[in-house]
Amino acid sequence: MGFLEAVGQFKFLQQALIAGVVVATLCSVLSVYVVLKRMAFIGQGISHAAFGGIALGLVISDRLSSPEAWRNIVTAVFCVGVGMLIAGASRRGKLSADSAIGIFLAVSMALGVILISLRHQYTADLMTYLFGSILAITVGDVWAAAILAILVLVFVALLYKELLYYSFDEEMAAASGIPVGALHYLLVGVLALTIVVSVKIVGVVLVSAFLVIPGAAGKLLGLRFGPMMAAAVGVGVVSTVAGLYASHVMQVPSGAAIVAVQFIVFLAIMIAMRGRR
Amino acid sequence: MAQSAPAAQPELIVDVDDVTFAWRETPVLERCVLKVPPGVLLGLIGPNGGGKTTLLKLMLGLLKPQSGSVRILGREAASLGSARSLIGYVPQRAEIDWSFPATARDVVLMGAFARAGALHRVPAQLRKRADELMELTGISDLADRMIGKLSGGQQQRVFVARALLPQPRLLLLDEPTIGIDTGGQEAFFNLIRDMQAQFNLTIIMSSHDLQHIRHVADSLACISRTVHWHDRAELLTEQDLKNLYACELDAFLTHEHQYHEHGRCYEPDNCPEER
Repeated sequence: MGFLEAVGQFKFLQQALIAGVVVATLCSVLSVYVVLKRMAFIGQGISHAAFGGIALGLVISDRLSSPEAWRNIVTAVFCVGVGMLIAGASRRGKLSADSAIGIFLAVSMALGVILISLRHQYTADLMTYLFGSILAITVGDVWAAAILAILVLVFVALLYKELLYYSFDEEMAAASGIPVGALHYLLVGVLALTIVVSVKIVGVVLVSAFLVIPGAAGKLLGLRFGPMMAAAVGVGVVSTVAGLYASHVMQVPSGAAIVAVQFIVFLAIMIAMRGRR
Repeated sequence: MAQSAPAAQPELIVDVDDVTFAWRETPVLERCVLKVPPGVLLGLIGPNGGGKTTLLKLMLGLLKPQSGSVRILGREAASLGSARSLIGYVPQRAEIDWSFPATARDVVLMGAFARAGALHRVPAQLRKRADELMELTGISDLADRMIGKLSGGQQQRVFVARALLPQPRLLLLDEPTIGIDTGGQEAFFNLIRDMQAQFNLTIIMSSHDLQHIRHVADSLACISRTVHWHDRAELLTEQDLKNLYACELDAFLTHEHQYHEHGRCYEPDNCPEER
């Protein structure tokens, strides 16, 4: 069965495609800030913390009604919490930012493994959480991604010039009266929520690629900030659709397939731009 | 004739009063006093790590002193609020990401972002002023070039235009000529002097290049954990300069036009006797 035919026939594929495109747009927009502000490791830290958050969500939601909703809420709160700790550490902690992130990352993963091991219940394939699965996406996930995408796009549009200045030079922006501290925490909070909604399709291990590769590819093109963001979204969305296709055809986890396509697109842009210099 | 810093006056642009600042446990500035009246071009010199950049950041309100006060136009630097637009700032070149996806015009317009306010576009009047400043600083032909594609001197002109956009009264420049060739440095200093006259600015500029800055500045302050004030920069002799470099700052104290408070020597054996 061809991919388009399968999309027409299977609801889970339609959901995966919509969620994939929405998540790719979200992550690609944020990837521009991640690349320019050199926040890739912050994204890495929060995405791995999501594993601990998911495990905690699983344990807590076992005894509650509507466990899936609670699991998502607990994961979101956990990730935003870890995000704020990392954001604080990266600004004024006594530890260096990369040490702090390295600690949070490993401890969150360890917490996740311990909680899942102690759960005494069948836990869906861990690969789903680590590397993403199009089979795991629900209607609720699609709605969560869509609502967050709207919020993030409004956030970026309203604070476009402030975020631009903050990305260019935090100190100059602060000296001119831009509230860079608040912007930093807001951006990390938005990043954390984006990671939570992206994890099912991409997986905790690979979501950081969504937050780096499109922005890095866009930067290679040597465009101004706005066009760079548009190019990043283009790279993200095209890679996601192509990656989901590859995932379906080759029967491999969706996150890995999308990241592989993103890398191919990135390489192609790099080679093309090198030829122009 | 020994000269002390002028007494506090209401019209002072910058009033650094008995300021002490430390990074964690490491003291950077100790009991510094610096009074800057309007219309002055003050050069900040001193050894690397002596506290020049820290002093500028205290004036910008980016850092808060552990004790003492830093006042800009009579207001605490750390709580200037919207009055921050009264200070223009050109940071060290090394701190800028030159591969950033912005044109020269984009960078100049950033100077208007805070004044335009959140949720608002930069108003036409400020866009027009940005064009005028690019004309004045000689970069209007380069407005649509990416910032990373400009020469060091051109980039600094972009930053001066950006700093002047919100119509500041005080311009702070941190080592603005590092990485610029000698001819470019001279042209840059001339530009700064022109801008000072045209916009009635008070300017504080740190520099590692004592030979150049002493010809440009009206007065010099040496920052080496403390402030040593010299009000007649052009009267420095070659011997003074040699002494200055042989023994960092305390040799400065041998000159008759000077102000010394809490001086400290880096090479005690070579230093003249402290007063």
